[in-house]
Amino acid sequence: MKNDLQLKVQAWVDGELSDGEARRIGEWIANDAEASALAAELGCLKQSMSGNEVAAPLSESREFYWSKIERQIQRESTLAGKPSVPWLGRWRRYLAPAMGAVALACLVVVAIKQAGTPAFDEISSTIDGMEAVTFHDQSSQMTVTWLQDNTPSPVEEKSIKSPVQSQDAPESVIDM
Amino acid sequence: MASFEELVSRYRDKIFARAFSMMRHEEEALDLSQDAWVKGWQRLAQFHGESSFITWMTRIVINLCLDQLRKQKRQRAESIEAMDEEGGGGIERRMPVINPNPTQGLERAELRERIDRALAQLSYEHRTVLVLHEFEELEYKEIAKQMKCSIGTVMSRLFYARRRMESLLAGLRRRNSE
Repeated sequence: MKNDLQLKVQAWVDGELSDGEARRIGEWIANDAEASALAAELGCLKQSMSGNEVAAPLSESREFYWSKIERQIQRESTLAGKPSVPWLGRWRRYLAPAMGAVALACLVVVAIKQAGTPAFDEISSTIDGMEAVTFHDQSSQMTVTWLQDNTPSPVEEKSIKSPVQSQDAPESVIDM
Repeated sequence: MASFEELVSRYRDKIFARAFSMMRHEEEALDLSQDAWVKGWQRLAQFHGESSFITWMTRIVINLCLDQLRKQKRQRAESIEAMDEEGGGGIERRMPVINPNPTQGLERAELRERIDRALAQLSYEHRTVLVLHEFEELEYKEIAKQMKCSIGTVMSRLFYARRRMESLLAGLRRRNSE
């Protein structure tokens, strides 16, 4: 039997069909052995289960069972009555002007610092014969960096050395 | 508060039983049933008497249990949509009709115990749909609303759950008669 027909039989047993459909399905069940057997099986089970639920015994005493409910009700009532952060409400009126003053002071300090800053900055750095000079113009938001190689060239190095040394020493040593 | 305590005292067994039938875990059922009473107290103003108080409270505990079961399901990283009975049918769908009635001739206490044991072996989706339909007597559309799924899914799950129950009950009967 098709699944939708099985479900129709079940709905017929449960009285879930409209009058017209119930009549139609009822007639079909009466004339079909398989449908009739299924309806009988579902009906038997329905009848067997009806009113036959096991009464699960509650092991706790009446007082103990109620005490937990009562505590929970009281706890939730207390929580519902309280403001979310009780101290905050009281202090808000004092804290608000103070916070405003602090914010204003911060703004003033920042403004003063901005006014005292020169229009440009120049940074110079020398590392192992390389000199870097950075210039930043704040008004035009421009940064320029110069890199200058101050390492003496081999010719200059040769001239630094004493004439005696340069004559005695081989050229390869001077080049090093 | 005293009158609410009286209501808790009167209906606590029923609320706990519903939580237990869905969770199958005593401690979890206990916690959830107590949480349901706390929620009931908080939402008392929303109760306008459209249904009985116990029906209203039962809906609250069912919702809490379903939330908890969904959470557990997510933690196990299983997809509800990937359930086998929705993907074309498991073996229960195709198995032959069981005859005779596997619960025939049983004493009421024994029948209850067998139903309980069989229910414990179902997945939470199948157990829940059976509990809501057979014990809470909810209609398909109400179950779909509670379980946040379509009526078609409810019908499919209910059918699968019933066939599985038949199979489990028949198995229990065979084991007892051997």
